[in-house]
Amino acid sequence: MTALTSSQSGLLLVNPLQRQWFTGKGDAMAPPESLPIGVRVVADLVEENHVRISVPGIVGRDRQSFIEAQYQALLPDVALRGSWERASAQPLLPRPFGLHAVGVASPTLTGQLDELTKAGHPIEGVWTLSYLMAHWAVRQTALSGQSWLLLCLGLPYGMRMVLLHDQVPVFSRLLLADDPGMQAQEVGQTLKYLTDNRIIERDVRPAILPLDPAPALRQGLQDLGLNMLPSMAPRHANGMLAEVMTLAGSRAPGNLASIALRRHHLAHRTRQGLRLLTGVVAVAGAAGLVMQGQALLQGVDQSRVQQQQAAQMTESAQSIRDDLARRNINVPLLRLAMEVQQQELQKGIDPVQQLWLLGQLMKGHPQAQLVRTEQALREQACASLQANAEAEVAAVVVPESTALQTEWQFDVRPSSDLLPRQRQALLEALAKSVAAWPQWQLKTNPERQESATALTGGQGSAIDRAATDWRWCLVPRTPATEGTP
Amino acid sequence: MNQFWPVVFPLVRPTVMLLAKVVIGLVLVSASLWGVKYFLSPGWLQAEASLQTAQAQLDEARLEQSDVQTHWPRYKQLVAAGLVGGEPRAIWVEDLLCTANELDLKDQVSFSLAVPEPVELPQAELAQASVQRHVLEIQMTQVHELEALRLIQQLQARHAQVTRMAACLFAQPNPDGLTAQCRVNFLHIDPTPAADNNAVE
Repeated sequence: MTALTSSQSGLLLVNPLQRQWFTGKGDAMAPPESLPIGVRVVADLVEENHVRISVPGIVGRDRQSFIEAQYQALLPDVALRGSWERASAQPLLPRPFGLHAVGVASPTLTGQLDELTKAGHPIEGVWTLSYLMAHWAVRQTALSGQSWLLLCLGLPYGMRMVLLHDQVPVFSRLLLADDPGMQAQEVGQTLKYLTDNRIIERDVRPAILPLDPAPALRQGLQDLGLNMLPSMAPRHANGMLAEVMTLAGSRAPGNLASIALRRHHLAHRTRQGLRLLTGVVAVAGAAGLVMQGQALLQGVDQSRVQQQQAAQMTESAQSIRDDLARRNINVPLLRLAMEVQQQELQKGIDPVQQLWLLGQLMKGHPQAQLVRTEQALREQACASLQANAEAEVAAVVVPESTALQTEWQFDVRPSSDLLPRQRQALLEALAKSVAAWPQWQLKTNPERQESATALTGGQGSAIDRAATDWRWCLVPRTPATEGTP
Repeated sequence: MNQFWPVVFPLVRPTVMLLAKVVIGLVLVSASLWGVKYFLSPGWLQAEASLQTAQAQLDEARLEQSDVQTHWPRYKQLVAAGLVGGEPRAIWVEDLLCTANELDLKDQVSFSLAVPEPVELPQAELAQASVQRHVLEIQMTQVHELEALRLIQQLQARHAQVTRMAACLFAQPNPDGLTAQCRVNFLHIDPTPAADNNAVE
């Protein structure tokens, strides 16, 4: 089967007198003898019957069965039939609607189609000329406002009349008479017939649009006093018939040919689609396989590189370790030694500094005596000052692997012969000096506790000398201890 | 569509078969490649794991090398100071007594070197060594604070690398002197694991 496109296919006009071949563009051509080409058949026959099917509010298989039954009732044994409305335009919901259909029961057309099939010409479809005329009229925006419109197309063998109601063809008639006067008379008779049969109401005067009319026909129609529309000039060089016929195609409504009749054309189109799909699948699949293969090769290559790198790294690591072993270096032991030094051998206390500071402090205050001073590493510096001296010495023994803090406590005893105000002044002076030490931060200040202690004295009072001592507790001044009391 | 394929399919069967062959061929080749990949993937995973292991080993070796380069001089000092090796408890005590004798404080000084305390450090297990802390308590009575300081300083100077002054208390001042109590921690690493002492030979 030769591959054909729509422009390469031919048009075959089948009328009661003859058959005429046209190219896809509407030019006359000789009948194809040798090469099979796609054929769009246009039927202009008197055996054309228009029907209307009122479909109730049903859907699915019921709707299709009802429509099929109506076809059988209204167009019995008519194989060539088609509806004006497309199947896709039918309502999805169960709502009533109307279908307009046309059927052609013509032995001439059937025989012609048989000949085409035998000759191997794929039939793209069969359309009636009346439907193509209606399709043409629907496409004209100037005619969209006409509720009733009668199209009259002059033909070499007569005239085709098509009545449109709201842009739907409801009646057509082929007049096999080429005399313009008679044609005009027949138009008038046709309108009378339509009125008499209540196809159109009596008060309705359909607009008449003559297509490609002979001047005498136009004059005759005007003489009848009909509602004439101005003539529309054909855009096709070969006249209005050629312009209308070129509309035959997949977009035109009312294709009469069944799927079985169009099977070669449909197979051709399907074959084209399948070949295109095959090509796309092959190309996409090949691209996917190439990518898959590349990923595979990349994986193999990457694995090889990883193995090489692993071997090199292992060799390098072994080389380093061999070097350390050759030098008898026990790295874990070295690290342990560094850890011990870091955690256990740094930040010990410095008793020299504390004694020097205390010496400076006591030198300026002879009324006070240093009773005790102690520096120690503790987990919590200055946490408890209530423990007695024995407990303090024992508390030095703490787990020292944790972070320890230096604590400095010292006790100062004021002279017993000081009057209370002198004693207070001495304490304030000492506290001021201690607070001025830059490296140490005061944690416990006896100046604050002095007001909370009892004042005792006199010959009969029993004075606990230790209770009158002033105790300071300090920690090294660091950023972490800044701002804390 | 219900009427379409029964009518059209016999006419397009070769084309459909061609499409099917192409699809089947692609699927087969793709499946083969997947099979090859599935067959090779354990090796790939092993290679990746080997690389990660080797990388970790190399990183660790480089870290060891870096640690050695950074700390080796200090480590040598610590080893020379007796931090690692045989236990020198007697030497520490003798040095204390010797220093006290030199300062003429032999009668005022008393001491106790406690039973060593184990120090728990994470690195110890890796090094297969035990770390011990030896706490030396020194008590001085009726001494001047400068004498006490001198004793402590000289003792520390002899073992500066392995000691830390943990506490020092000066109290009870009187015309004859004062009492000083100081605590010095000696650290020691025994490279031989403790368990080896009881190991069956």
